[in-house]
Amino acid sequence: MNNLKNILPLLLVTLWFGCEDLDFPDPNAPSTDVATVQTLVTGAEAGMRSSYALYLREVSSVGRETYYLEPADPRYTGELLRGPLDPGGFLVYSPWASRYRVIANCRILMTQFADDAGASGFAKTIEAYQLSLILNMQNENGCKIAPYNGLESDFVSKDAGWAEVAALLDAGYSELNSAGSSFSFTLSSGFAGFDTPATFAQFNRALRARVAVQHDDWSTALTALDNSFMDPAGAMSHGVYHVYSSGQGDGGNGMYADPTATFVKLMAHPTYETDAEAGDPRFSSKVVERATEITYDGLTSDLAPTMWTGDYDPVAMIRNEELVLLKAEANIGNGGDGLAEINVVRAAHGLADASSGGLSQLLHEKRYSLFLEGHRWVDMRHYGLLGELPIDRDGDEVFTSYPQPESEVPGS
Amino acid sequence: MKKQNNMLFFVMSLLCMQMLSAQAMTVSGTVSDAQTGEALLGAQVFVKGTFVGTTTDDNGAFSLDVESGATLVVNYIGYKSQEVGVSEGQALLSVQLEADVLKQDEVVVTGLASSVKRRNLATAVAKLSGDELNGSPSQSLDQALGGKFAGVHIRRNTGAPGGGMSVNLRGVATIAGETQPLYVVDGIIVNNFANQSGLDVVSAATGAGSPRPQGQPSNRIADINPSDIESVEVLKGASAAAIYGAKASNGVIIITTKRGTSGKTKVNFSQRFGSRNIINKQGHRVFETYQEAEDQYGPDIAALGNDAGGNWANRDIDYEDALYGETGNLKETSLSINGGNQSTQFFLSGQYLDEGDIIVNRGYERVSGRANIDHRVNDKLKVATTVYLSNSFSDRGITGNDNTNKSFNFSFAFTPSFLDIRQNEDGSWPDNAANPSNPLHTAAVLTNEETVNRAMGSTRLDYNLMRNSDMSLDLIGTLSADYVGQENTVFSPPDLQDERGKSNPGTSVLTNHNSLNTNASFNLAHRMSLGGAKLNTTAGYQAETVDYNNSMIIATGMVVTQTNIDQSAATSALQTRRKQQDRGWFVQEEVAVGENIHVSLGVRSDRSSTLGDTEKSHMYPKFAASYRTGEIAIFDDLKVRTSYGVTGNMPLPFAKYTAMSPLNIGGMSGLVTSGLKGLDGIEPEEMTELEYGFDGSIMNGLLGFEFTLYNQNITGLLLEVEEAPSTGYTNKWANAGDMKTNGMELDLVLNPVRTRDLNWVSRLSYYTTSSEITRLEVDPYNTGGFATFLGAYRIEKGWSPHTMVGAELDANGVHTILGNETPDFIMGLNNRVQFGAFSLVAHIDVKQGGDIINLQKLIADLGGTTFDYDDQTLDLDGDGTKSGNGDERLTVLGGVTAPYIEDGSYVRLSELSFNWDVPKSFLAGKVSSMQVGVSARDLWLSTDYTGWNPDVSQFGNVAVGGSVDTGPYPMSKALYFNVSVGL
Repeated sequence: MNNLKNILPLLLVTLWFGCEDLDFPDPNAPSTDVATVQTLVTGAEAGMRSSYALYLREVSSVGRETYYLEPADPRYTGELLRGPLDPGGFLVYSPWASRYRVIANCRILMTQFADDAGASGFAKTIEAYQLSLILNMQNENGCKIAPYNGLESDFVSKDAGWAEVAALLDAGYSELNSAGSSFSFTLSSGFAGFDTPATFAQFNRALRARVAVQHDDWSTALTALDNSFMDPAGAMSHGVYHVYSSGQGDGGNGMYADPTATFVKLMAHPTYETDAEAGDPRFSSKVVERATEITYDGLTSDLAPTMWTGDYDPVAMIRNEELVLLKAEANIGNGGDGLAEINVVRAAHGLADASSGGLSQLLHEKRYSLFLEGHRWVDMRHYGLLGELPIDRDGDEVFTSYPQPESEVPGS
Repeated sequence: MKKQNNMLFFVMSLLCMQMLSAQAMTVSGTVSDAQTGEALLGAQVFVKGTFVGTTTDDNGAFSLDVESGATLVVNYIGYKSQEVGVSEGQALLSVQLEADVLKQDEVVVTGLASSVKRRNLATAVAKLSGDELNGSPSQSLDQALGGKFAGVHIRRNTGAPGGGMSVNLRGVATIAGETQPLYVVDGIIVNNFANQSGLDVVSAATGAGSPRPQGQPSNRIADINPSDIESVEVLKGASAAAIYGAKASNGVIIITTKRGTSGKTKVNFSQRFGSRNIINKQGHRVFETYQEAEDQYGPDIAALGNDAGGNWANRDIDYEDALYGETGNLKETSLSINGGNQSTQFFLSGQYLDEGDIIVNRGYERVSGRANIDHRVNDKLKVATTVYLSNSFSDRGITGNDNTNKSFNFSFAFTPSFLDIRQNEDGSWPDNAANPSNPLHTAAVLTNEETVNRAMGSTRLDYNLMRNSDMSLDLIGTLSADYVGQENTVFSPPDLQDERGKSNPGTSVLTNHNSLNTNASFNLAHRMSLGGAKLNTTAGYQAETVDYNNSMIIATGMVVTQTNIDQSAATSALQTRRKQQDRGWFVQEEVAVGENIHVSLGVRSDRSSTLGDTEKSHMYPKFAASYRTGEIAIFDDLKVRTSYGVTGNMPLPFAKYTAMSPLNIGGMSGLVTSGLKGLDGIEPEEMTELEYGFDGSIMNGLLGFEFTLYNQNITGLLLEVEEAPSTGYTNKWANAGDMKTNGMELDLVLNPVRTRDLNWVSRLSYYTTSSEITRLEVDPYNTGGFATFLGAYRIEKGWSPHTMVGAELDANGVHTILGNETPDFIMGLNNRVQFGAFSLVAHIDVKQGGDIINLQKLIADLGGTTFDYDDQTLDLDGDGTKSGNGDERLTVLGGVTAPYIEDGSYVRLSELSFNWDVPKSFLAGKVSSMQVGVSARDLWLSTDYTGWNPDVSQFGNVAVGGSVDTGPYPMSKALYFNVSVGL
């Protein structure tokens, strides 16, 4: 039939469209297999900063170093200070998820680039560091360790978790020691001075010392400190930092706020002033007493932090001042008084020597030296002293552990 | 080849002529309105049982060669069809058509190239004419659709100028997939994306608690000028929409714009003026004494409520009024020109809309133009083109969720009325001591502008391949393109209170969005009469491509007056592309046996780039049948019908990919896992629907009714389920559940008075729907909202996907059900009274039930300003004392969520208009008609809901998790005065 000739072009068009291949790669982003050592390392380094400001706000609030007075979200002053902590809420979830996201990068590095000892040593060190932050929060409720099979992986106990952290640090340390003189990748300026296998290994040992002290393993701690970058004569600020910038895909520290603004969210706990030694520059350089106080949800403070002067100031991971105090702590653990190291730190701040050492003096020094660096709650819990932390409102309490996140527990 | 064709044509024409010439006669006549006697131009006159026919001219006259003894069928839109016998020697026929109040003879589209009269339709399809749609002016088409169809729920996610509505057809059909119906305008599948404005960057709403975008964007159907619309058809369920296959499980809305009619050129001009005001205020707490203020805010802030003498000043400033109390001026100018001759017809229109709003500096402006041209090249070939261009501009302000306490609603909630933060006499703004920002200052200087340029065009070719007295074959091809160029700029100047404290004060976010949708379709339509039966076969092929490119640049550290992103200290950029290619074909057969039986069956096949297997064809069959009794017992006519159909819902285009995301540090680019794990083999959701019902009328059209029950099974639910974050991913896509949705729809039309002078038509639409998850392969989970204790939706087998839960658990640790978003019923009541030259239209919408998580109330509680803060009606902590509602709610916060879950029922007078047709005797010169009147939209609202908007959806067009109120842009009422003149 002649009409067929009219239909023929239609059929041809149909066939042409019909055979078309509709498949194409993701127009927005690469897949896992195209990632390089450099992009994975940089991604891990950048990812370590995700939710880190949140982590500091949380542990500082629970440890009664600070308040986070957030009118837009009552959970910072409700859940964190009074409870109950919501296993499905972001305060529990976000720090957890952000740390494991970095661990996922570390795992890809370890599997896709297993023969790069430097990359593997980096990955194990960072994974251990991330797990230690998780365990700081979760404490008695444990964590998940490799293999990371989601709901099929059970939680391991706190002790097994810390054992994994120590093992990863030690394995990473030995890999770093066999990784030659330089890395196959570049680190950010936050690792300035720690960007070769040998110097990165000092960062690894510093973390190892921190973990050992938390577990009363004094001799391991002292050995690790010797192999770390601890330097009683050096600058107290020397160490490893998270760095920030306004560059593409980068971000701010999340800690800075103008202390003179009419409303500041992150405020020091009033006891940080009342417990301070007269003239302690660590107090006066870290907070400022405002003309007006800030009140929210029954909490009041006039102490605004001044440790950061802008959105892109660095935030410490671990630094010399902590290491010197860790040495004091280990010595006290071994029966000494730690006074020598304590006075090294005090002298560095222009303070007169302390009359005596011992645990309570050490905890005072740590509180003022390492304010807002995430240690107060962990230290007080370590020594069973959470009961000494101040309670501001009826019904408030100090938690010892974060609940297991709802999304990690089958059936919840 | 050409010669042969001509030859064929010649032979066939000869045959036809021979057949006709046997007992041929010419019949002429006129067609007019039975009530008014007005001539009807463009009415169709056909010889019954054939495809021989013509249309009436300017005077309503026609002339047609017929066999004697033949029967003519006369059709005209909006009128009942009429058959007239032609007897020999009868030279002049006068056909008077009666208005089709019950719409039994309305022609309804049933496929991509086929249509059928409602009388014979086997599925429930709702259709509205442009007049019914535009009873009162509306900014956007979706607003005008509200309440007019059973089974259609239109929600105003936000009251912001420029739209932002969600259209839901027949209840929940998905949980995490696309939720909006497919819009087809003159054959073009149009873009109805809701593009995020970048406001989230400034409000940080998508931060700590929730990863989902919350910019409450407008959706792009708002670009279409509602007054260009000739009719709207809504294919609600799978049975009607199956022919649209894998995109149709949310239903299909088919819009036909006005086209030219031959005859004298008609010009229509209309002008409207009006005003807009807030409809529903919340109120606020009043502090009677210094002590009350001090208890709430401490001495520093409370002291600000004192006068110079240190005594409580008793100040009570209504900041709700200061923020939302503007009167918006409304202007709308429309012009249309319509005419043509026998071979070419045109419809041209233009509209300018300029609407102020209830917040200072906010508003919406749109200029649009349309040219619809039809040309008959010859007997066989018809061309129809459509071109629509529009440019719109809106400023929507900053409302809704916010993590910076900057949005109007957060600031309002945190600013007690005893504080004076009004502008100083020198023009400066005081800082707000109780909140990080001064909302009056923010409202005065912050901009959130959206400019949209839209171009839509299509060309349709109808080529008649053959036609004889009992058969015709047409080839119909359509090519179309729809372009959206959208620019959003959000500018938060550096001198705002909350910006000043930042390292880089001032934020400017520039978002550029370009998208192009292209469609091509080729269809064959074959119509045949075989004895008493009519067979209508259609088959076709469709190709669609969506290409979307969105880039956002965030600049910080701005100069006061300069929004330009290069005048900044720092910038960062984001880009999202979205590409989708779909290919489908269909075959459909419709059979009418006599006047009583109508059967239709068809199948559609689809492939798409969004699916895991792009080679696999997904098949969507349908079947429908109806039987008409004709006059029986008290019924004028009664039809029973049943239908079955399958449709799909495509996954989002990125759901099949597992990607790594960029995350940089120190100028080096890094990659991390993206958080969302894709599903390689992702499949579309599939909806199977069984629909049955009956319709008819009694007592000579006094009452018409349409009753429908439907039963939908949705399988392979696309879920964005939680992944244990220890895997490095936080969510993953899965086809992991089934759901059923059932419902009932009832439409009634009552025409109690129908005289020459008075005609009263009352329409009622009513529907209910309910859904239940019947299979869930993953653990039950909470979704939507911000946190479980702040109210969330729970996805659990055996539960409705709209179930709301909170912190409350029963003794077994099971979540207590606190509410449900699905309303008990939705009802629309529309009354039209025509009394001589006067007409009155009133439309009332009713929503009964449907709960809302009212977090704006919590925000106000936290700010200490809730209107009922000091009322003593609640004892939530069970201590036997009612110590003030605000305190009671806050004391149990964390353990008790229920006080923030409220019933969202309302009754709303959505439209009211009164018009007068100026009698012809009053008109002079070239003016042929004139109408003056007043109309109103949303004039009155009655609700127990204590928020601004009982229709709110903070998260926009989502199937689950919408009814969360974090202070949207309040709803407003509009009042217009209109004049229209016809030349």
